[in-house]
Amino acid sequence: MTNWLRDKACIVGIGTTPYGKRGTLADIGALRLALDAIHAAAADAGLDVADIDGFTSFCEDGSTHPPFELTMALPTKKLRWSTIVWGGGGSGLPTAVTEAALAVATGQADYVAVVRSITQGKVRMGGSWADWYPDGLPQHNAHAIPMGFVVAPAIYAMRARRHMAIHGTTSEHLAAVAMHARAMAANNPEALFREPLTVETHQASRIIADPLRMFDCCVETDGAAALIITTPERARDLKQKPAFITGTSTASIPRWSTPITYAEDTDMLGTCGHAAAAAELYGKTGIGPGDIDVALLYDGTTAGLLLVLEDWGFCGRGEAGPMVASGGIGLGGHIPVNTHGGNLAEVYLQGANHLVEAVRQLRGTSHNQVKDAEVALYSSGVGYPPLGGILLHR
Amino acid sequence: MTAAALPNRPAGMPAPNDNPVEGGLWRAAAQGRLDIQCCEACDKHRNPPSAACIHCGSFDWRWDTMPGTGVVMTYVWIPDPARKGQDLPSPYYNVAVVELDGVRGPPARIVTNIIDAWQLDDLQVGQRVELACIKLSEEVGLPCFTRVAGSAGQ
Repeated sequence: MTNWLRDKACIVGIGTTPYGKRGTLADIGALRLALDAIHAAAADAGLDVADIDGFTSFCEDGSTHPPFELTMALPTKKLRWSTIVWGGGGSGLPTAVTEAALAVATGQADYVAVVRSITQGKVRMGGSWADWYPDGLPQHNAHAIPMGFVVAPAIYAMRARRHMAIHGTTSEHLAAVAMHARAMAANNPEALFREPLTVETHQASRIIADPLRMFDCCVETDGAAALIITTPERARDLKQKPAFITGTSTASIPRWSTPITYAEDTDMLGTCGHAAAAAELYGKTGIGPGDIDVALLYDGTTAGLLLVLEDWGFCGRGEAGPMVASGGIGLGGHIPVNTHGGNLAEVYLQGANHLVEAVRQLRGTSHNQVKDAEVALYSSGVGYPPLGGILLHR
Repeated sequence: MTAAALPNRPAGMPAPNDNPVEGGLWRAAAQGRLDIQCCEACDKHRNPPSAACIHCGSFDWRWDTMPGTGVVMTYVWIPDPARKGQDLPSPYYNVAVVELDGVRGPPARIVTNIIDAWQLDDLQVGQRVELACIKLSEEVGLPCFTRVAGSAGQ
């Protein structure tokens, strides 16, 4: 496997807005939040925002404002390059970053902003899908929605239940994931949910999709994050130490459908495709799980995080629950994970905030800094493909 | 009829798509049968329905009537907000993935409700189930299932 992309692009700027709980920033709006994040990322990089000539995003929904709208309120000199990931939903960040890296490496653009902005004022992403499709059910959910499969956490509740039956994973293991996220968030002033969580509080929270309870599910929030990608040559004239893109992988498993009933997902014990993404990324970079200093893993649910840990090889199949419960993903653990608090406690920006934190770790500026972190992994959402991973190094 | 004998189904869900690709599944269920697609070219079954074969790509298929039995591979319980104030045995409905018996080719599965299960410990991974269709109209129904007595799962 070749890795043409290695070190041909780097992340030179990160920017976030203040975050708010669901709907609280709706009046400001996703467009303004996106602009604020882009300005913040450019300032962080030491780049004139007018020089950004490429834009990309993922998860095409009502929050996504296309670059021709963004540039109605930016001093952009040239808009040379614009794209969005086809499919992927909240899992699409590795594809967006891959596209941005390719764009700058091949001269299609000089500076690309990767942007994700979300406000959940009217549309609630955690709500029921039952009313989303008045004109007919989409192919990938047509066999599931009539049966009441209408909430996102159920995707991983299905897998969690089977994991519990086959491997003995428990709800207390899931609680350990949620408690870790809160413990990390406690030191992160930008995080929205910083109060400590106990097993008792987790166990007493209401059922969302059994075996998942409220504290097993990501937070519902508003906010935006942006990252600036350019070439290592251009990075030399900028302010920050670059985070180099070692490699990326984007796994698009065929025939994905929400509850996964197709034959290639034979055991329903892993995620929807991360084992393939891990094999490709490790294969083409020569880097393995033991070489990674910090892992920023999309955590839409506690159960999803356990399966991601197994798919990316940080432990064997069935071992993630006990590993987390014994402190394995803490700062002094086997693999420090989601040092910002993640989707479970910092903010839900579909992983854009995770990638920002990966860059902070490589710069040495995290609120929960992993000592001398040199290699960071981001692994994306665990639903719609394409999903995947990004390896960064300092 | 006792409350527990009612089918445990979520309220207010959209009806399935009764179109040329999917309709055979839902129309058979209205007649009490489980019909799934079988490829005319490679003779393998598949579910959910699709416009062409996921094994060989052929656009030619027929509907095969299956035995209507299978095994619960996994399941979830979801609270139904429409049940507030109603006298039902549980606030939760279930959604299960059932691996079907009688399939040629790789396993074929269906997303369904086990309509006689109400309490969180009424289902187990490995539970055997049998077809119990719910009629939505004269034309269309849902292939649901009930538990087979004496099969405790695993």
